[in-house]
Amino acid sequence: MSAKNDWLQPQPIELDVRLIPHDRRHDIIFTCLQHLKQDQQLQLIVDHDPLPLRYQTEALWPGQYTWKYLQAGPSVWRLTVERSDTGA
Amino acid sequence: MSEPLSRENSEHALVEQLVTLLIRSLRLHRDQASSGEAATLAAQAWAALRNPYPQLAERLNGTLHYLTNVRFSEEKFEEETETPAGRTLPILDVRDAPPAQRHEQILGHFAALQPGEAFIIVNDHDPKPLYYQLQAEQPGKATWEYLESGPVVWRVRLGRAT
Repeated sequence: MSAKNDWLQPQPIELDVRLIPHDRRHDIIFTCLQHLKQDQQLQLIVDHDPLPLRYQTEALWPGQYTWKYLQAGPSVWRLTVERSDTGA
Repeated sequence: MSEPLSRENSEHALVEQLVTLLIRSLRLHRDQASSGEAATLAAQAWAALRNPYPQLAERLNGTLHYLTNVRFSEEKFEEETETPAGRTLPILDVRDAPPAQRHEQILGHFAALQPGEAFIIVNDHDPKPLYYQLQAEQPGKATWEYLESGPVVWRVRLGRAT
């Protein structure tokens, strides 16, 4: 996985959560998180701060994911999530 | 309702009762310095309940949203249920909505009903005050039928009269 082989890098997963019904959102995001590869980003677009999801992720997989806010409201939140367990 | 409780049923009822108490105590931390820790505990309880008691876990999910002050632009109709006529009715579970928003949510959905349509309210106390409010403001417009009357959960079929 050297920087030269950019085309081998896993593509980011982009998920516009606003399009998903409320009651299905968390399950779909959990599935994405579980399939996230090392160095792969999950990009989320949400209509509220996804704090509850972050607490749940931390409860299920403590310390495994890093969250970065690119935009924090007032009407749209954009975040990237990466695996932070190196495992290497 | 009057069938004897099996051991499994009574255990489920006990878990449900404890979850209700847990939620009530966690909700006290909203807007306090301790709200982050309360949210962490709510998430851990959610994770523990997720597989054995998915519906109770969903209530803790609601508690998490309450503790973190998430405002939804729309309420969720989370599941459907069978009616005697074989049709399904939407369920509006307001147990984890902030109390101040419960009437508003329910009245919003009532306003959207066509004559003859109905939905089911799920609440953690008797929503009778709402019934009085409806009777006072829109006399004769609402039908109100208790499907379950506590002690932990109340289910009311709220419909628009034909």
